[in-house]
Amino acid sequence: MHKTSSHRNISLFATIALGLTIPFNMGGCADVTGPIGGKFGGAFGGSQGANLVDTGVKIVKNESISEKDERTMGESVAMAVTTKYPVVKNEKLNRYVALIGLTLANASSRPDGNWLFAVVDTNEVNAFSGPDGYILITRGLIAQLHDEAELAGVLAHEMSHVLDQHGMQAVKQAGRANILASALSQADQRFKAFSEATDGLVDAVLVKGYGRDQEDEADADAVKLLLATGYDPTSYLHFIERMAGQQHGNSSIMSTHPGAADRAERIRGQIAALKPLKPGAVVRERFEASSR
Amino acid sequence: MTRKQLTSAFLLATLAGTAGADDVWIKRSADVRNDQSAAGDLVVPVTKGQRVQLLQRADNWVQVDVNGKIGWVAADSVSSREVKPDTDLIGRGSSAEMSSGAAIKGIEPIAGDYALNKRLSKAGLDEMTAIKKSVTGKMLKDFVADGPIEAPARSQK
Repeated sequence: MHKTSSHRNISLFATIALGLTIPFNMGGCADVTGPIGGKFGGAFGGSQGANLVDTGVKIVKNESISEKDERTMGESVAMAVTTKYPVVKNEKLNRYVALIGLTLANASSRPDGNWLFAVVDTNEVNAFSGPDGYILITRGLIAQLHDEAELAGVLAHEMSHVLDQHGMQAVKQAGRANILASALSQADQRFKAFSEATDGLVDAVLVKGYGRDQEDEADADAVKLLLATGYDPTSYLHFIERMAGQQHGNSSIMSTHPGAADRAERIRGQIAALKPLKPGAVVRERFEASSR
Repeated sequence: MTRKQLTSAFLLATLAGTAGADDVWIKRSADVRNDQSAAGDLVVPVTKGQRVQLLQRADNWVQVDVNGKIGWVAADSVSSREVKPDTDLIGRGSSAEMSSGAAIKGIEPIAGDYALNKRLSKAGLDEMTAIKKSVTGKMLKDFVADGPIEAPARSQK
């Protein structure tokens, strides 16, 4: 599933950017002014992702975006998120989430990747992923979950966005649409380009989210990763179904990011098609002991 | 066997033993670890295009020698064909020339500049790194066994 190195290099008249995702925002656009002056909102698999093509900073250069560049942007995004939402001061909970994430990583195509995990301290129901493996989940989202396999499903979805290079893909499209020339020969030019790219993507992706296709791809790959790891993907389905139910019962919930019911239907179909040989682990007791 | 043939055979054997017969190229950045685990301790990071010596293969991992530092990296991360390195477009320490971002240890100067400019704290990033470091390979194995989380078969995502 992981794209090859050729996918990792957004070559070509290069476009620089990065992305965060919030596929689990149950409160619609959070409308919280972020530390960089933008608005942090949520995207529950909405169809607004196509707007990304209008938001990235485009930099023309006959060079590739290197993985080092990608990591540099990823760490900047992680700083932006954790400045807004501090990491919870709960060593046991953070380690628990990291253990689940690394268990998933071991079954992925990138067990040697730069995977970093943390829980951030807010009641908002969100999860974030930054390029190169920065995975953050809110305390509010964990409070909505029922077992470890559900938590693994959320993490697997975010990790799939990273593995699938969704942020870079979106900006690659933007580069084709509207190219802004920049030689990047001077340090201040490079910083300006970097800063604008990071600003633009943190703001734009948090508000608009990925496209429906990318959310579906992340869901599908999350199911595969759960199965490869040994978790029950049905738990992830149950979580999405609950979100769909809340959306149905309260028009204010996820009103700007509809689609949970459709996602649940597709996940259900995928699980049925893959026909798991055994149900997989749910791990409810350890979740209760470790997540509260 | 003629003297010329003997010389050629000797040269070939020498090349095979010392000049890269088992060398591979890193095709994506990765962390070489001391164990075949995502939670293994970092031995040395490697970057795309770097040439390393392949020591052995085991499941989905390969053991490599990186300038004398030995550890494990995912088999997917290496190629037997030469891989060219990328040119770092922005994260090449450029802003050390222009501001104090380089003073923020542990991140690229340009990210340091960004953090200073936007008044971002690096504390969260440090905490994420500390969380990762607090997980050992043994801890992860015990966690999987305790679940128990049993993978149906080793597979690639």
